Amino acid sequence: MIMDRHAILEELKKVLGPYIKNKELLQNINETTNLIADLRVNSANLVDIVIDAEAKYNIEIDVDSAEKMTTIGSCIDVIQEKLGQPS
Amino acid sequence: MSYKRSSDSRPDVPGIGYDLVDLSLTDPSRTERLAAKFMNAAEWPAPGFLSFHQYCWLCWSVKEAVYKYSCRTQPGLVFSPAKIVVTGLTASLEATAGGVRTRSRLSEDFIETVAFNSAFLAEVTGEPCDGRDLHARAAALAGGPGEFAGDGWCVSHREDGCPSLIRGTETRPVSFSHHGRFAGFALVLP
Repeated sequence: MIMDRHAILEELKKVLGPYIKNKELLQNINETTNLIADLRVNSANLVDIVIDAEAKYNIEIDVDSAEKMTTIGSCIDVIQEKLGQPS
Repeated sequence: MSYKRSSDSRPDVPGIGYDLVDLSLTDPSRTERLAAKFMNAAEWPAPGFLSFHQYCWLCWSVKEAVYKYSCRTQPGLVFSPAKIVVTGLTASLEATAGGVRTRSRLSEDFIETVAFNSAFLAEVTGEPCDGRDLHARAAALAGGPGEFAGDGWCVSHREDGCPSLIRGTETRPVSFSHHGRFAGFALVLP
């Protein structure tokens, strides 16, 4: 099943949820939202998010790709790529 | 609350990077998977004086501190933890990573690391505080330990977020970190 960017975003919110104290921040996220600056995700949790995303989408995210996952848009780009879907 | 002071001094442009990890927020059952994502093959095996879990999070803390240190001279630098290789870790938790010297402290509750090339002072607190409290505390200590000659110091952030203590034409690099129950900072001493 092909997931469009919106569907990936909705699932991504569930992945991010445990690492965001202020849940209201999740309501207004868009592709330019930065995980650290805007969602206030602690950098120590960035790797947790990568691992949780791997489990959620049944994909493997290599180190180089993980480093690109700084905004919601770049997270979706990486997930789409690993799912083998066109962006 | 605790203090530590370095007497190390080098003639380079003073730099500082500080990181803090609240160990209660780390999950030992995930350590192996986490380590595979951010550690470099050259960093294995873990030294005998640390558990695998302690070693992994100490490496993370070192990498973060070195990244913050490096951002001061390389604005916009992307954090690439696997590419910052921790080497020469001693039992006193001193190491080198990315060409930068680091010193860490490990307790049952937290790990803190300072990346430095100048004399520094670091402070960590488990008392409730927010960014403003930390900024005020750093400013108060900017004149040097015990002097509290902090009048007029304020924290200024560069556009990329890199912080410094500023008073008139004086600039003193500072680095902040907050994780879970703990917050702390390190600043370059005069």
